[in-house]
Amino acid sequence: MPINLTTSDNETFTVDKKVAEKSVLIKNMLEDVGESDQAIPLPNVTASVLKKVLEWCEHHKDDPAPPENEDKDDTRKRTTDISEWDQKFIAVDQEMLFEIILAANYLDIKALLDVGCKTVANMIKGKTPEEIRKLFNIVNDFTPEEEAQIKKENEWAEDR
Amino acid sequence: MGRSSVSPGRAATLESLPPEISQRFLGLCDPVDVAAFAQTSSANHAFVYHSYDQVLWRELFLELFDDPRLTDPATAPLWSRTSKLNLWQTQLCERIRARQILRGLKRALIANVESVGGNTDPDNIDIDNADFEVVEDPREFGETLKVLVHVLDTARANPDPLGPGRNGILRPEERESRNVSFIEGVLDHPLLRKLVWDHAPSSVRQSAAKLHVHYGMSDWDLTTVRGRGLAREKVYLLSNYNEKNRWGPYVHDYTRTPNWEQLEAMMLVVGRNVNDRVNDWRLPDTDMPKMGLWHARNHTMTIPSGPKAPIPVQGDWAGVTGRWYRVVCFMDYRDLWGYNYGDFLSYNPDFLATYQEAVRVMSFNLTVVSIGKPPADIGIRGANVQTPPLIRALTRSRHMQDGYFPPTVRDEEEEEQEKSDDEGEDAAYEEVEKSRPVAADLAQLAQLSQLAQLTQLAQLSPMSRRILTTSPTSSLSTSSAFSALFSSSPSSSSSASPKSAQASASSKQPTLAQEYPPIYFSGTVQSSDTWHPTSYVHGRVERNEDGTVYWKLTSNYDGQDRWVSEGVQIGGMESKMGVFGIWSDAFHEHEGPAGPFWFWKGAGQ
Amino acid sequence: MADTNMIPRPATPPQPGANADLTTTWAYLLHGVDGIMTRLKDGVSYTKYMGLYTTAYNYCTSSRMHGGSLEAIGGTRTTGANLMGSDLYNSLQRYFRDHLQSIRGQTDSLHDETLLQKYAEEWNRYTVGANYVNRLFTYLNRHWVKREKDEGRKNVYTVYTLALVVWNEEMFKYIQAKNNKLANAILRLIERQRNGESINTGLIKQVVGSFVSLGLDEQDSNRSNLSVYESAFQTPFLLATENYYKAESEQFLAENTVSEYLKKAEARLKEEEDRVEMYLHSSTRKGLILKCEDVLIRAHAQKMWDDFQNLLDFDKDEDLQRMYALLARIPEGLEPLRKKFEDHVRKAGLAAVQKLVGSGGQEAADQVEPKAYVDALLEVHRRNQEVVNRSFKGEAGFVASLDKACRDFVNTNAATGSNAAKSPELLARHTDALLRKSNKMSEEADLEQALNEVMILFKYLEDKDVFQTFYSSKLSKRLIHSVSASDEAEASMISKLKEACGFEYTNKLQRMFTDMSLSKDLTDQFKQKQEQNHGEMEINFSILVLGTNFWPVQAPKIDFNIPADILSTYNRFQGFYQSKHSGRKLTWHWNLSRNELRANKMNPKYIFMTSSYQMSVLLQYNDNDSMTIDELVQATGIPKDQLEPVMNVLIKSKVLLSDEKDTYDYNPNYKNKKIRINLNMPVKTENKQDTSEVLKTVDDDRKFVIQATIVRVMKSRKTMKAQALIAEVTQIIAARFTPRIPDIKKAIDTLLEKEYIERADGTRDTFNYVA
Repeated sequence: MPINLTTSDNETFTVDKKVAEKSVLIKNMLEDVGESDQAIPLPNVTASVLKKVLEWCEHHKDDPAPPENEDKDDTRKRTTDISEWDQKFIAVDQEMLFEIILAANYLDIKALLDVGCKTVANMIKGKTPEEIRKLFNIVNDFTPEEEAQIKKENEWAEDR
Repeated sequence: MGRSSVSPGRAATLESLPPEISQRFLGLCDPVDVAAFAQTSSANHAFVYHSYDQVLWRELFLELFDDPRLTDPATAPLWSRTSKLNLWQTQLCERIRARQILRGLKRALIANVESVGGNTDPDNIDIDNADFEVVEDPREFGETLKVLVHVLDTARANPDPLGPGRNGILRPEERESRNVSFIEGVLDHPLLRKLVWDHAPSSVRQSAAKLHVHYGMSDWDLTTVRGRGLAREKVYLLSNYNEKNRWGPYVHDYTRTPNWEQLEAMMLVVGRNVNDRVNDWRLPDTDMPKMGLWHARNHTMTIPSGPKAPIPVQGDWAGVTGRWYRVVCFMDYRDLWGYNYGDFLSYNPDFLATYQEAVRVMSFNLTVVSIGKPPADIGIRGANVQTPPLIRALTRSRHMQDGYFPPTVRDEEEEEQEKSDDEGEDAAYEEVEKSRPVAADLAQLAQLSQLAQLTQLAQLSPMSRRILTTSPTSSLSTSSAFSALFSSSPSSSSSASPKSAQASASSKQPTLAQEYPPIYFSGTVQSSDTWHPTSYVHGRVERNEDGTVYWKLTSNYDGQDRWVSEGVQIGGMESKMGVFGIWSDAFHEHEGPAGPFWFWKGAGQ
Repeated sequence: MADTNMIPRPATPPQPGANADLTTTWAYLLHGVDGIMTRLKDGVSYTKYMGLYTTAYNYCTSSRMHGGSLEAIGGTRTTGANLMGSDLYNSLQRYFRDHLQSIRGQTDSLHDETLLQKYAEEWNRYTVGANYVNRLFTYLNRHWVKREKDEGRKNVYTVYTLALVVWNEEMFKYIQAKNNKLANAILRLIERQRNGESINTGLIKQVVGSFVSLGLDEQDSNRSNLSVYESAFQTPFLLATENYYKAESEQFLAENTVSEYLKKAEARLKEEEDRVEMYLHSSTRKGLILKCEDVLIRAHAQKMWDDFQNLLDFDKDEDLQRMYALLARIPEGLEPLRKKFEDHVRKAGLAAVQKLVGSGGQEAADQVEPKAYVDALLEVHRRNQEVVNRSFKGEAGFVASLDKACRDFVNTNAATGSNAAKSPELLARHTDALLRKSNKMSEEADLEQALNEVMILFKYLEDKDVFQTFYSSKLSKRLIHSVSASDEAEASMISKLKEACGFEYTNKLQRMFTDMSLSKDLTDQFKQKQEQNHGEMEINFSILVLGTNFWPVQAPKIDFNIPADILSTYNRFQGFYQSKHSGRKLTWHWNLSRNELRANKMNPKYIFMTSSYQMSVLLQYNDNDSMTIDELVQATGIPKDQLEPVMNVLIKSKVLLSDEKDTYDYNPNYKNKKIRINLNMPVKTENKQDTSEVLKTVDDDRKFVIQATIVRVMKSRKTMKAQALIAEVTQIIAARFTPRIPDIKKAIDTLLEKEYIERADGTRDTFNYVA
């Protein structure tokens, strides 16, 4: 059964139900409201982003569903490893990266959200504050005094 | 783009992400990256440092460390949001800081070696000649060590492999501890370790020593000559041992607080000696002595298994029952005297470094005598009391078939003893009657023992049997199965007794205080000592509130208490690493000898 | 109940922008939520759904990490991400509360069924809507709610659970506060149903379902428990049930028979089981049924027990079955029945035998016919076995009662008196009669059936060894006199005995059989040998060689004069046998041997079948016509006391005549219709003799068995106390007979004398085995 999705900029995508249901939001809604050939509006997602998201969903459509509740006392250490395909997939400009993250969050696609977050984490790792600012276009809005104070506050993390 | 079709054209940026997501990716980073992030802008800073709750810090903390609320549930409220202590953050920062400092020191040490063209390969470093002048701020360094010790102290405890629902095996993931892994990771370079062991400021010497003892001996410890001498100097200094520390490895304040510097020295002396000889002893794998971070943890003792394994006694939280090994070292008394009261060292500074001590190894077979209450006085200092036949009879000579130990035949003495038992029945019975607690303990023993113990008891002399079956406080007298053992039909089954015994033992839930009561035990000793190949030992093990496990052993030769030993079990109850401590003269006569020992559990029967 | 169609729907507010404030956001959300809660049947479009979801999502995520644009909360510089969540949460909570408060008044005037209907209706609408809303606020659930719960805050729930909590507070408790109106409404309906009315069970199911849903686990609010269900409904329900049935059962029993009551109780129990299925929670089942059993059965058990005899007496099967089924439900309910049944059977058995004996006293008892006796016992057993199977489902306890009763009356009854050996004797005699040729049972199957019936009684015998001894003696007679009905039947009986008592028991019997076939072979071999050596034998000869230990026969100690006519055969056979089995001694039992004589002197030449004693007497008359008793004694070698009965038979048959005392003449004028005449009739007094002989044998055997058992036990134990020894020996022997303690003690003394065992030193009551 094909599902029609309409983005905020009025583009409609048609996908297989299985692909669409990678989004828990859509899955729930189909359950609650029922199926029809009406298009589902996605007010928070634009076409370019949805395209990417659907590409990911298509590739992962046969993956097993993640567990309902993230285990609180999962003793295994978390990793920022990403599969090769996902790495290539997420090699996009920053803006798109964040859009994908936001879309995954909105559409409730946990695994895709994980990919995005891991990517961001990897981007941050090992960088100085200045490097991070440059990378993400963050404006340094500290006064010099504040900056010094904060540097001191974070002395604990400094390399010695 | 953006989050609403209503206002397009808004760039999606890092800052536009909802906090949940920021927390998500920050939680995947190392804390130092999070710190870097916090310095990028005031908003980011606020997010990291002024969040409404500590969720991010908690996540970061638990990724690297054991959950302190599980290790010590009493402290759980301190870690919750309501306490407003921000412990997740402050504790994490403190620990990371320690790590960073140590990493820095490590780099400096390596740089020093490089600068003189030395080999920086950790396996081949010339430690003796390395330059250890790298600590700029000793106070800070000391703090770091204290933090490490705190991490060690708050490591997750292993669960009891013989606890409810378990079969004596701990799975690998159950033995894990992130705290211990952290310490292992931080102290990952021999130069750094040496710096910590040897160059810690004196104010934190205890902390450094504690780390050293838990970490175990490294290659350098096993080869250094000078270090050996220094350790011996500490260990054989008799003035170290007096009433204030009960002639044991404790601080001199009557409290039995472990003195880690002393323990470090003991480990270095005995460990070295053991290392030199252990291959000659041909011990089975399970019985080999072990050191190290992962063996200095509770419940790491090998559990004996197989048909001849001793049956665990209910309530024996220290794993007393079974076979143990002990190594004692001692100097020739003249040399010891010379070092302590003479001036050997002034003549020959290398005297102790090159000294050849005597080293004795012995095996024990211990059984629990009583739990919670001390048994009647079995002859501690001053009393020259024969061990009563009951205790004697509880022990049996064991033959060591292989390797080092000569076989013993049953003492003629013991046989004489039993004969005279029979003859002097009434007199002895009266005497034992007076010391009623013994019977009560035996009742307790009967309650705790399983069938095997009952059968063993059945081989007692008639007098002992009579006491057991007629003493009103003994549950044995009413046990039909027990009397069946003594009736003339040996084939009657005795399944009734253990069940009823266990039922009564388990019917009361122990309170926390009762959960680890002192255990009193006794046993036979087989040693290579030609004068006393077989002797007896009795003692006690207890645990105090903070988890420290103390052992006391008294050696008894020919009915006389001779040596007393006090030690601390490294790693807590049932640790594989075992007990280090000091043996000394049971009567602590002036100028009496003393020396170090190491005492660990084997898995054999 | 207001018709929602008549209220003008509020206009849909516009969808808020991404950064809308709480007021705008909530206005929009409220409209949507209210629509879902009150007008879900109008349906929700994708657009609406997504609109609501998105608005909630946007609001939750609208705080940024920049602290600037936030509503300052008390002036502290905190990011309010989580506070956004709490805004929505609180608003939702308020909404649910207001919503319920506005509609609950509608229940004020309602009671019973109408109340339940309204409640169920509202509940359904509410829960379906809440489920929807829950989905719409997924983001809130996943983040803010979860976070709060992780921090340990109680009273924060996912949206659906929140809705339930509010329902509980505002609706459920409100209605229940008025004298538990809701629960009582249900109870009243149930009462009506119990009274026979049909009610709307679906309605109850729904309402009960809501009770179940409302219970929340203290620790984990995602899990429900039955706390509300139990306290609000189950407890009063059980109480009402108890009262209802207590009253009903008492009244019913006062006006009806126990039989009728049984039916009623059974029906009620079934009804309650069904009730649970229909609309109660399954956890109620256990308590409900227990309570019903208590009130319906246990409370009236005594009446049932009292009526039981009546049912037994009149074979009221159906009622018995019902009573059994009911009393089986309560512990100890069946015990009195079992006892009564046992007594009943015992009485029946004793009465049956008494009837046989009549009023004749000891003599009549002695005269009891075996067949009649056995049939009477079997009849009682069969009848009551059927009762056990039919009415008591073959329950083990009843079977045991039956067995106990049978054991009692089979062993001790009017015919046996205090003689423990009488019953086995009678049974053995009956069996003997079955196995004789004279038994008229033609069909093999019938015989087999009859033997099986014998075994039924056999297993109740206490002194099985008495039976064995009798059986053995009778078997030997049957074999010797060739009067067995069929070899298969004999073998079948022996195998049955073996199954029941083991190999040892039937060993001797088996051997007797073997001897029979061996003897046949022997006879054939001898005949062949004779023909080879001496031509055909003049005298037709067949021999039964009996192994001494197995056959209960005693050789008479007389010096029998072997008549010349058979002497040569006798000698030849002796020689033949000795050559085959040198070292064995043959003892000839002339008193059991038979002969055929042809009266050549008479006309016609009659053929007489005689015993050997008779033969030896008659052969004398070849040479003499008249002989005195003393002469005969001398000639035959048979002592006088044994000879006289022999003579009497001959006299009676008129072959010999006796005018004067002690003189016997040959009767030349003997006439008989038949040519072949059997003079060898068994003597009637045998029976009594038999019996006492048998009993003596039994006693001797028993002594031996006891001693042998003691020795066996001592050998394996080596040493034992007297008490224990006696106990063990008794237990081992019990399968065969019940040994008496004095007998065992005597046996111990014998063994002590014989030094098989000894007393342990210094003790009086401990023994050691002497190797």
